[in-house]
Amino acid sequence: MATYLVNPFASPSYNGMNDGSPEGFIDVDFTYPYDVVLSADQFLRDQSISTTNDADFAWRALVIGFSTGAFNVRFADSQGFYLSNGMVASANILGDASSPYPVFPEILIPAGGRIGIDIQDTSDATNTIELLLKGVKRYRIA
Amino acid sequence: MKRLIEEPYRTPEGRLDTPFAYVFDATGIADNQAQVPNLAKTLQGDSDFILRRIVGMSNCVNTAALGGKWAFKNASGSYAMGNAGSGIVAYPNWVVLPEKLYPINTQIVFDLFNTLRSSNGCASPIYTSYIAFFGVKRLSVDRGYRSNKTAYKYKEKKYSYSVNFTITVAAGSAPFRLSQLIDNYDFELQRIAICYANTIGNAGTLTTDDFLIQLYDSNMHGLSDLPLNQSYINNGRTSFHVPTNLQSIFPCPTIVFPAGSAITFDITSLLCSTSVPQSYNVIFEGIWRVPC
Repeated sequence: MATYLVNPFASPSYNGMNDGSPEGFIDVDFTYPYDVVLSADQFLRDQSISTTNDADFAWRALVIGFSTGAFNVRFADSQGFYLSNGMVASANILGDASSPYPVFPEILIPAGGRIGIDIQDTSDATNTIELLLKGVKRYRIA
Repeated sequence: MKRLIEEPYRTPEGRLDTPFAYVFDATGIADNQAQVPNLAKTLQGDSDFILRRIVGMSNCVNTAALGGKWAFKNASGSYAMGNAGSGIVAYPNWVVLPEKLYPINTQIVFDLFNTLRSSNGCASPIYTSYIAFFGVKRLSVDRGYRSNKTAYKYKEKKYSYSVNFTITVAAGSAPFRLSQLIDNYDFELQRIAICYANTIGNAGTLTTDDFLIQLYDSNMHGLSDLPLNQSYINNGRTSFHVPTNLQSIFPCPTIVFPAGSAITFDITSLLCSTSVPQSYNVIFEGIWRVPC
């Protein structure tokens, strides 16, 4: 095996991380975006992101890609199980693309499933929001 | 049982990973285009490429509020995010995890939405809109690349080489070459930091892309296929406790320069004619392999 020199200044992802796919599957990096424009104080319930039919999705991190103001949000898995007992303020789940807000342990959404979202503007103004749900598509190896 | 994050990375048998960046020159793309699909960075035909980090998309599209977005594709041609026609907001730095393999002779394909090239504020704009795909080239061990091995028994000692240089020419001039001799012992390069040298021109931290830099290994193999914006590799902090939003670190994994070789790099000025001369300090930080 070739000598591999880890850079101690760098994050593990820059140095390389071994394949963590479960046996019989291959994980491929994927991001589902959720874009919405809320009017002042608008509360949208039972929104959803549909996952594609080609693979299960293991949701591992959340990034608030963009927002023009504060908002509250609550997520549910594909079974409709809420991931919090109430709405969560966006300032408590801040994360950007370099340091996303972790979803740990990962939440598995079946192919053709959905991630439920309740979202509410709290900025009292029109709010343009993009959420990025980062994780992996889990393909079955034939 | 060790967790995945604690396990040393395993390069496949018979392969050698060497840090590399593929750079897409977007300075020629017109501004204010709603969608520019299927731009491609073709790999050099010498190895597979493992993609781990994408930098600079935000230098090529408009702000998020004005619809600047991007998307890229896997080697298979499927999108790595969302769907065709709906990219995501462009961050300065995008980490690809798990890493993606692009086989030899393939290309990295991506889309831009609402283009806007970043530039230095000169009388006539000097564009800094370059996109860098960082990762490793996966070479065969028998291809003649350096192996990172040191022939003698050694202990590790922290050491830095500090180089001062001055840019005296404005953008549009030919690049000039600098090098730092590796004296005494083999040197493992771990970090590069660049700031103003506090002698000629501005002083303090460097937050603008004043120049492009092309680095070479000890065998004069380029570590990128085109020069990189200095900010893409500059690990210097812009304040005491806050790293830059690019989270730049290069080379990764580290590489070894044998004693007697040199760290060679080319500098291409992106400065306005009114901004020269300007002096800089660069440190090459790492480990000396001291015989024992």
